Amino acid sequence: MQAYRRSVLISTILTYVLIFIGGLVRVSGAGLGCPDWPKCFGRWIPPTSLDQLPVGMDPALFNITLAWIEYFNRLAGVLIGLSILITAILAVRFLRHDRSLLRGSIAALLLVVFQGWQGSRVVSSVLEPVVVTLHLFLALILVSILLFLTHRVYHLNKPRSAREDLPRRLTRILFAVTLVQTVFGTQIRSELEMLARNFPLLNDFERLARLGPANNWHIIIGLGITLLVIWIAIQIWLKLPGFRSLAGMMTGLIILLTLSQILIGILLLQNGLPAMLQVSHTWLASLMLGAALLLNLEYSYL
Amino acid sequence: MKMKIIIPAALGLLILFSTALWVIQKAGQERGRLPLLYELPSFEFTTADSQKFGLNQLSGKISLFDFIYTSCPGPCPRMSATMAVLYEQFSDAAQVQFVSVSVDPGRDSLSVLRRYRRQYGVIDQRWFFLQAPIEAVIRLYEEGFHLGGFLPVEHSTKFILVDDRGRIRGYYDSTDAMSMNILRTHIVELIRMMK
Repeated sequence: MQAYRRSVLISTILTYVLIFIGGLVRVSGAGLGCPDWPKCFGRWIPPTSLDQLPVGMDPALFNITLAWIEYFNRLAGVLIGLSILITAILAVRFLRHDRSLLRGSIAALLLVVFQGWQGSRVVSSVLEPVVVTLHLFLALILVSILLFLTHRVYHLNKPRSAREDLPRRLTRILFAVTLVQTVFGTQIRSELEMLARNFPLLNDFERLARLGPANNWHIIIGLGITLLVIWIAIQIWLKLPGFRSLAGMMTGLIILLTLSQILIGILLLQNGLPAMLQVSHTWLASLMLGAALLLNLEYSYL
Repeated sequence: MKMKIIIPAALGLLILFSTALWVIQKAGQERGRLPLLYELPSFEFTTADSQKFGLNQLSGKISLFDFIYTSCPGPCPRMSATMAVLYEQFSDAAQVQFVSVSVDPGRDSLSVLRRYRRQYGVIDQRWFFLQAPIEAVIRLYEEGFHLGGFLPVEHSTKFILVDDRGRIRGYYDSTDAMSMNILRTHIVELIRMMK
């Protein structure tokens, strides 16, 4: 049990780190740092100089920094795959009596393997926007499963309540809307990248000005989420005032994340999309998703 | 208990974000780094409009070269179609010009080149089609551009980027979308460096 707890917690944290690294790969333009998969320029350790390139590989594609950024993402992915494999083995050996832990652990394992393969499609599609968005979407689902497992294994002997009241429904809606909003956000980035490809001479501000309706929808949904968060905070804190409980803490975290996201969103528009803010925006969205899920789960045990 | 979580978490975040800043900066520098490969020798070719075209016409311009012939069955139409896309995408950049050199001057007379040019919607002085005796073409192709293959049929499908001082800055596989992405970035980078 203790081993499983540790293993699933480490898997969750590492997956969050990997989501961050994935965002970093994208904004640093290193997605095609390795034009092949799973190897990088035909090697298990990326080449460090041009003469290590295999025959027939276009040297113009080679850039050592970008290759290593992309390859680091893959190595970290393998590490997480192993960590989840250990988690699943532990679940099969010691936690067979808990159906949700067993199923969840195996689902996470299957998903992480699929995610690795889907990563190869990201490269072979030359960063086709839908394929890239799917890669992030799957990562968000994976980290949600892991968070569910982590929460569950710390509440094994507590009974879950079956009541369906307002806070429970609201937190579920928050989770779903945050997921939709994140996908919308990646859609905006795809649009910007298409604009950069088709109109390479435009600067960031000119590209922003040409964005389609997705950008407006992103802002509208963002305002909706803000209202929803206020409503949830009132509901939760009426029952559990303060930050002492996990539910109270998560509520505080969600408010903090919402405010940060609004601020970063405005800064992105005003400053022509600095890369660091782009990574932060996506990553905080994934944290927000996790916090909404934890709040929902925690509430179900109250 | 709380401190035991908060301190490592804050430290972890700090490391994560500062590494990210460094990586982004480094990647930005690397993406725009263009090697200086070869200096082009002097040459004198004729454009489809019977104008002289040589090193002088390269100065102050970013030029994208390819080698084609109009009766070529497979690769050349694809190369020209790809070049036409770039020609369109960089239509607002007067400092970027496109240069297609015929590797079959025996058949590609100036009027044939003019007809070929019309097919790709060339309406201004940003895309040149060049002709010269085959010996001069081979000399430029092999000694100037360092390309290989028996002309005309085995000509290269690469696009070659030449800067405003007649220096080759990169070779890009015109049949590969990844290479074309990199090429676009490099053209934009050269424009920025010229400013």
